[in-house]
Amino acid sequence: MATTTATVSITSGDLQPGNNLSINASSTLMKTGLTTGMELMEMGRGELTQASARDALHEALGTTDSANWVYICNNSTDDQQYMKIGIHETVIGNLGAGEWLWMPWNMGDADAEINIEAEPSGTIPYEYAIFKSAPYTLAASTAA
Amino acid sequence: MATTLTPTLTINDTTTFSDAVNFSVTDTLSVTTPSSSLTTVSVASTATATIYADSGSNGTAFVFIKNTNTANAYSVDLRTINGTNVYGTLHNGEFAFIPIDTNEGLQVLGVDGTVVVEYAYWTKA
Repeated sequence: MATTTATVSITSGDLQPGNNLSINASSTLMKTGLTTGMELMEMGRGELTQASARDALHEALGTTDSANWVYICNNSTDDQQYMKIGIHETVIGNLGAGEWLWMPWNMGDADAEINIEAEPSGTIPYEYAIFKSAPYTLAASTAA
Repeated sequence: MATTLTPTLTINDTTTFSDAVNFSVTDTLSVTTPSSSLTTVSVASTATATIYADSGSNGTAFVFIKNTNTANAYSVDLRTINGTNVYGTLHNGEFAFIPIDTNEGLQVLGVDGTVVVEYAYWTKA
């Protein structure tokens, strides 16, 4: 079985007096139905320009809710630059330079695409990975 | 006073593809109040619980949230408070680390049964 493991650790030496913060969590990514591991993955890098406004990083499947996971990292080194992350017209939050997110994505509605947008100016390099559940169907060819 | 938070994500897979997937990313965040150390909340099916209240002003808070349930197929939906738009679901044992727009907030909605959700958040300085 496909076994993709996500692990997060969150640490801090000065957040809690007299007690170092150390959060650790790990889980195996499972397809919709939670019986088999995920086998579809898309990952890559890109550059996002403020001039292009809001761009769809990935379209939604648009049928029923499914289990999918998204990693996005803002690779900018300019502290003034940030990426707005959203699902269709819903703003999730902003990723500043060097910041990343790991979140589930249901993509169960046609209007549930992942949007990314560069702010306030310039070009932001980013990287992403999307782990997807089947079923995925290929679009019909338009060839005669 | 701002303090430092270091989140690290590692993705590993040596079984699915001919080439192993193995990457790790870390960051150093400067965070401040309001914040919440790890806490839990019990969410019944169809009930909601606020994880980060809509503050009414723009900003960013990083949220760690985990579905601690291990029995049955109970889950929680993640959704904004402003607009109650669901965008993801945490099933048994799953977690997320998300930057929340403080003007949207975050709440969980129980699905199919009572789930104990563990969470913490930190406001970006």
